[in-house]
Amino acid sequence: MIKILIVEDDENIAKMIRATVTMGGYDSEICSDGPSGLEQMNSGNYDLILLDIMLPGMDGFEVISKRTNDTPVIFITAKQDVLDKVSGLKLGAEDYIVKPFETVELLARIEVVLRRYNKKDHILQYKDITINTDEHTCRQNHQDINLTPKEFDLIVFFIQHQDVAISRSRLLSAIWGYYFEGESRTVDIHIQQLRKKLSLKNYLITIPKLGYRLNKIN
Amino acid sequence: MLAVSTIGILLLKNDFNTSIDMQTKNAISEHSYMVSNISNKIVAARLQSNSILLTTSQILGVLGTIFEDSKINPTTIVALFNKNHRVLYNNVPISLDVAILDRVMGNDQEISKNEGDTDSSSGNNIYYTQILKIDKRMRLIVASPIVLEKQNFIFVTSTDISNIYTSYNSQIRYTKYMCISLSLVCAIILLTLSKLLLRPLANLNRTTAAIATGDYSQRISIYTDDELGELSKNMNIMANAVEENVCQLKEVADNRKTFINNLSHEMKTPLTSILGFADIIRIKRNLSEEELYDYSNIIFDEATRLKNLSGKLMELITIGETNLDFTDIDTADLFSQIELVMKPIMESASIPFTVSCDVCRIHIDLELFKSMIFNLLDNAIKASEKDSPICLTGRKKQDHFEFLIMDKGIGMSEDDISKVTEPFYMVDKARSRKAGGAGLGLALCVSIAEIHGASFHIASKLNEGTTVTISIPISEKGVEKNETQDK
Repeated sequence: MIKILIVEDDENIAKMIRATVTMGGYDSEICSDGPSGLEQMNSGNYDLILLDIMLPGMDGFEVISKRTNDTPVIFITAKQDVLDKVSGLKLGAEDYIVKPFETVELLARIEVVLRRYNKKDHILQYKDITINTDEHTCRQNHQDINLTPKEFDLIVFFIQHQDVAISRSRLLSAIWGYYFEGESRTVDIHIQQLRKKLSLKNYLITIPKLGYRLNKIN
Repeated sequence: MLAVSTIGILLLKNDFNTSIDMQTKNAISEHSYMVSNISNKIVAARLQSNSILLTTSQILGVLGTIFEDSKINPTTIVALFNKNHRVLYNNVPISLDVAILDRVMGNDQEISKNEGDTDSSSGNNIYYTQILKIDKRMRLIVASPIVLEKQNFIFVTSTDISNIYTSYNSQIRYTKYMCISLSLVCAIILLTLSKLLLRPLANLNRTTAAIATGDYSQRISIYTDDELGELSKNMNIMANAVEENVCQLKEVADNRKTFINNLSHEMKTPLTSILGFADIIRIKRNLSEEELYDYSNIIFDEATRLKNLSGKLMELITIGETNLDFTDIDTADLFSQIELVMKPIMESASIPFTVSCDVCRIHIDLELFKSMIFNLLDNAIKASEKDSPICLTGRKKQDHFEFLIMDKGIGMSEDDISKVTEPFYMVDKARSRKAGGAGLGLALCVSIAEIHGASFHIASKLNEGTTVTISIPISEKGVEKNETQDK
């Protein structure tokens, strides 16, 4: 199981991040100050570090510059300064998330970084559906299912975020890109296609006023 | 310069004219001398030859004897013409031709009438003079009609006066060169002088330009006793004032920026929790009852924190703008009110609380002032362990009344003391947050003290405790009361 280290001094925020990554199916630990965060980081027991910048004892920039291994780091900070972002990325952070953020956004960013580091299995399984993200293939009952690129990205996104309701706008920005000027109708049409092609009518459900959710199979 | 050279040239011209005049006079007198000499010699020759009248050739012979013995200045040319302007005699090969003679006799104006010349044969002799250029030499020609042996002749002498012209010209040239070189020297001197004189101005200009472009630390370095020195002194004073103002503005802007930064951070922290947990509640399937309870509690706490923050913030911003109710308050009343409120709180925290005060009257807004004291006592409680005493003392000190809030708690470092009154500064963030603090309490206290014209001072030592001293002027009406009351 993928293990994430959360270095965050505000107790409630740390708790919230932990609940979020747990939703994403990751294991996690919390550190509430710079020095202990660095120590944990250097133990090499983690696949990803979520690092706050304003930390007691030692700030996030110092922590990242003193780390001894190359575990990927995502900065999570209230500082919105572009300079902070630049210096954070310069120091080798993989990404930079500004507080406050949406739960799914954080999960999606974690997903991207883990995939970049090949820490994610490239075979996804849901019900009788098998997806190979490397080969870009989708099989159901040993039969190839022909999906458009967007449909493929959508089903991958849903399988990665099972049991989580995802808003249309989040789907738009995650699948179509941040600057996509599309309407939520686009999402609805693709969802309908997915349901039809993969017979997910009872699993990929509509959440009123919110969006869609792929239910986990127990 | 022009005037000087003009005067020089005019003087030279005058001098030249004078010397020409002199030369002319000399030539005329020489001429008349020669004329009389000729007359005498002719008379002598006539007596010698015993004839009544000498012939023209005899006259020429006499002339020959006179002028060929070279007693005469060799530069002088002598010539004799008959009335038909024919040359009868000349002593030097240079010949004055008829045309020149014509011009001498015909065109030239008469410049001199030599009267009273006793040596001349006739009483009234007329001399004509002209300056001519002959063979590249300037010659002064003097001509006069003479009568020898009842025959009319024209006697001409010519003197070389080239040297006058040469010296005149060379003087003129010299003067010109002198003038030009002097002008150049003067120009250079003037230029350097003006540059030197204008240098302070250039310096002034440069510095003011630098100040104008925003480099307020620039100062003018002119320390003279003249108007420039005075000007630069005043400019420096102005620059000082400007720099001070700009620094103040900058400080205000910096403070504001820090304040906004801190505020945004303080707002984002609870917001992140609120948004995050609300989102989880919203999107997560099968949220357990326990999770729901936990998350909604956090949301409530964080929202309360935000509410406190905004309340404190409003207080801090509107303090002094709202209508304050200043009245004369008896300190004994004030202290008993404070004690009444604080005693149960102190007891529940197991903290021994002592209150003592001198009695007098102070002019305050009671509610606002009490809130400051409560705030400081609250801080003292937060800093204190169980059974660590807290002391509130009021004492008169000359015309001021001092409030002392003393605890024997954890104290602060020097560094913290200087920053602790800044908005949002928290010595121990985690602890303050847990206690619901926003880091605005002391900033608020300082503002309240300021409104009351009171000084605010914090003395603290790490692990030894903190003493906050507020010193407020005593109300004039309350000075006469002087008894001490202990509680």
